[in-house]
Amino acid sequence: MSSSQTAWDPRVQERAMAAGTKIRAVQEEIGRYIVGHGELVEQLIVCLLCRGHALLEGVPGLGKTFLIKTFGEVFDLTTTRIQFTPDLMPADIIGTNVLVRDEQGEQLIQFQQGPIFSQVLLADEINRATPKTQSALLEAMQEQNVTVAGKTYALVPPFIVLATQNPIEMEGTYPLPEAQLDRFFFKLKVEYPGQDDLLSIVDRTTTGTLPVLRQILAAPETVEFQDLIRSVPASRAVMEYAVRLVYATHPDLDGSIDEVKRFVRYGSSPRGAQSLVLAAKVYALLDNRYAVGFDDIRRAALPSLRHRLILSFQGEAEGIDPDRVVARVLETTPEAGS
Amino acid sequence: MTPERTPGLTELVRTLEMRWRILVLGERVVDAATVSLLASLLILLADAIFALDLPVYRTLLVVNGAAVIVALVQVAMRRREASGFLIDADRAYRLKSLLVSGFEFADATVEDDTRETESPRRAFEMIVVEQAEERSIKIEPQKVYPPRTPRRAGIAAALVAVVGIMLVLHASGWFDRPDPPFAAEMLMLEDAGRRLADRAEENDELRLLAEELQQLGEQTRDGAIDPQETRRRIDQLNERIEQQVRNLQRTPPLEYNEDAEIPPEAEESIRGALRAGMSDAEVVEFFTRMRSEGNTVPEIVDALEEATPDQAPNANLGVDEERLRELMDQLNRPPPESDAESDIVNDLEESQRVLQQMGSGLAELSEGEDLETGSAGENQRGVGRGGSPEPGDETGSDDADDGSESGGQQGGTMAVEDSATDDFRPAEQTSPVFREIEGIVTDNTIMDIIIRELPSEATSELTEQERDVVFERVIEEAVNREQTPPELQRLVRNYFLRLTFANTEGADDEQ
Repeated sequence: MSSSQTAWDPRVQERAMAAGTKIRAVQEEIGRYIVGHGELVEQLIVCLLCRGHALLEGVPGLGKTFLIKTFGEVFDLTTTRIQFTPDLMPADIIGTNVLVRDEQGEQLIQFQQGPIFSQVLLADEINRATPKTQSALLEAMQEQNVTVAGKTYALVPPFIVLATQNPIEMEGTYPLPEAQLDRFFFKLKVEYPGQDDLLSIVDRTTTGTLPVLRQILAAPETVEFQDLIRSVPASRAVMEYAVRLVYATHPDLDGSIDEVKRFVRYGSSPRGAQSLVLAAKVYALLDNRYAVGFDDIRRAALPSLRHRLILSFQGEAEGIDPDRVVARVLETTPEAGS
Repeated sequence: MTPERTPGLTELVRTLEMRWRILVLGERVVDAATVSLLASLLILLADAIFALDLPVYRTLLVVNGAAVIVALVQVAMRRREASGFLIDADRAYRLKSLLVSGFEFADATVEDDTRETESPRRAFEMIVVEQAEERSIKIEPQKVYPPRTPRRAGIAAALVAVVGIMLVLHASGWFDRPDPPFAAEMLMLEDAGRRLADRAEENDELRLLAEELQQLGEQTRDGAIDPQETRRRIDQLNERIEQQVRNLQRTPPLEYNEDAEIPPEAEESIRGALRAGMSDAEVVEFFTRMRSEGNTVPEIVDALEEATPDQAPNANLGVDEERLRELMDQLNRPPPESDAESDIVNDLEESQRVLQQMGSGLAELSEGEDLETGSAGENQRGVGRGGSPEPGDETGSDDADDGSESGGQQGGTMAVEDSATDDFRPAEQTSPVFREIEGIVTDNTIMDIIIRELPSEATSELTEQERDVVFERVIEEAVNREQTPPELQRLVRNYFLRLTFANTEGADDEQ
C-alpha cells in the first residue's frame, strides 16, 4: 500500500464509528420504550439521517403517534403534532401574519409560526386534510423552509415530517397526490405486533411504570451525522444496480417483467434511486462499513419504491400490493450488468 | 485498474477469471455436446431408417468436433468486467460488496488525486481499498466458483450412452438393410444381357433374348414382377438359351485346310509389310482378322500387298531372320475358334447359370421363406449357394481350362499367375477372399459389380494378395473388352502385371 493511500484522516473513521455507536444506542433506547417495531425504528432513523420524511401507514392503535413522540425525545428534537382534518387550512400548519400591538402600543404585522416550525412534525392522518392543505407541506418537506406573504422562513434542522394514514378507513379522505407521495423518502408499514410483543405492550402500558427516556443525540450531532452519511462512497456497480432497479419498475421500458407491465402505470421517479442509495449508505454505516453494498440497496428497496409505483387500472382492480411488484423486481434484476 | 496499488485484488481478479472461464467452458462444451449429440443421434437414426449410406463416423466426428470448437470460441470471445468476478467473490464470502468497492475506489483515488485527503469520502474510499486488499489474499477461487456439474450433464451423458449404443449397433451391421433378393444375380443378368446384345449384331433372336434378360433383371430388382412370374420367365428364357447354345454349337467350326498354310512365297509380302512399317503384332492381327472373315491365305497375302506400299528391297525390316521365322510359325498356327461365337456361348451359358441360381433360390424361398422379408444373411447364403460353381460343373471347369489356355480370356474361374512357374491356376485355390464369397467371383461380371458397388472414396478391405488377384482380373477384363488380338493378350497382360508388381516392390522397398 502506497503512502498516499494511507494518508486518510483517522478522525473520519472515528467519527463514523461514533455515529454508528450512537445510532445503535438510539435504537436500543427506543426499543426499551417501543415494543416490536425494531425495523420500523431503524427505518425512521434512516429517514432522519438522510434528511428525508416518512409516511407511516397502519391501522389505528398500533402506537404510531407514541413511536414518533419517543423518537423526537431520544433525538432531543422538538416535536409537534397536527391532527389533519378536512377543515384544516394551510395557515393552520405553516402559520400566518397577524396584527399585533408592540410594547409601545403600535400595531404591526407579525408572522405567527405554525406547528410546522419544529424538528419533528407529526402529521396525523394526513389524508384527511384537503389536497390544498396537504400541499402546504410541499415546500417545507423539499426546501426545509416555508414562504408566507412573500417572505421565506427557514426551518430549524434537522427537520423531518412523519405523516400517518389509515389504509382501511378511506371514506372522507383525500389520497395524497403523487407529487406529495414522491416527497416522502420512505413509506413505512406499521404492522400489527406479534403475540409476544402485544403481551409486552399490554404489560408495560397497564402497570404505569414506563421507563424514563434518555436523550442519546443532540440536534447538532444529528446534523453532523447527516453530513457524514453523504460521504459514504458507493461503487459504480452498486449505484448502477440501484438505477437498474428503478428502471425495472417502468412498464414501458424493454425488459420489464410481466408484473410491472400489467400492474404498473408509472414507475419510480429519480427520487426513488436517490432514496435507495442514500438509505443504503446509512445501512452500511450502521453495519460499520464504509462502502455501500448490494444488500444495502435491496434492504432499502421496499420502503423507497413502494409508494413511488403508480398502479394501473388492472393493478388497482386486482388489489395488487406494490410490495409484491417491488419484490419481483428485486428477484429479477441482476446485481452485475453482464 | 491499478495493479501497483492493489496487487492482491488484481491477482484475485486474474485467478477468478481463469477459474470462471474453465467452468463456463465446461458448461458450454456440455451444452454444445448436448446439441451435437442430439444431431448425431438424428443422423444415426436417419441413416438407419432412410439408408442414406452416410460416412457415419466422419460425419459424427465433424458435427461433434465443430460443436466443441464453437464452444471454445464462444468462451474465448466472452468478455466480462473485472467487477463481475469481485461481485461473485463478495457474494461467496458475504463481504457486502467490499471487494468490488475497493477495486473501484482504487481507480477513483488514482484518477482524482486532487481531492482533499481530509475529505471524509476520500477517507472512506481509502479505508475500503485497504480492507479489500487485505481481504483479497484470503479469497479462494474454488470457493467463489465451486466445481459444479454442468446443467445438462445428465442429458449429455444419456445421449452419449444412446449414441454409443447406436454406433455399436451400426458397426455390427444391425442397421444394414438386407439386399433385395437376388440383387447380385439381377445385376449379373443385366450385365450378361447387355454383353449379349453387344455381340448379337444381326442375330435378331439373340438380341431379343438379350433384351428380355435385361428386362427380367431390371423388373425383378425393382420388384415389378412377382416371384411366380419371375420363375415362369426364367424357365422360358432357360429353354430359349439352351436352344441358342445348341444352335451355336451345331455351327461347324471354320475348317483348317491346306490353304491356311502360309506358303513360302508369301514371305516376301510379309517382308514388304514389315518394311512398310507394320509391326509383327500388326501382321499377326491382320492375318487373324482376315482369317476370321473367311479369307484364304492367297487372299490375305494379296490384301496385305495391296495394303502396304512398295519399299526398297534392302530396307531395314526392323526384325532379324530368326524373328521373321517365328512370325511365320505364328501365322501358320491353326486359327483360333471364332471369338464372337465363343463369347456368345459363354454369355448365354452364364445367363443360364444365373437364371438357374435364381430359379433354385426362388424355389427354396417359396418353400419356407418370405421373399420380401428374407434377412441379409439368408440372402447372402442364397447368392453364395447359387453362385458357387458346383463340383463337376461343366461350365465352370471348362471356363477354368479356357482361362488357363488363353490367358483368362473368357474363363469363368479367375486365373492367377504363379510367380515361380509363370503358370496360371484357378483363383479360388489361392485367394481367401474369393473362397469367402464363393462362386460369385468366378463370374466375369463380378469385378464390374465389385467396382461399381464401391463408393468413390471407400477404403478397400482386401488384403494385398487379394488386391493383386483382383487387379489381374480387372486387367483380363480390360484386355477382353478392348478386343485385343489373341496373340497379344498374354503380352499385354504380362506387361501390366509386371508394371503392377514392380510398383508394389518399389513401395515395399521404400518402406
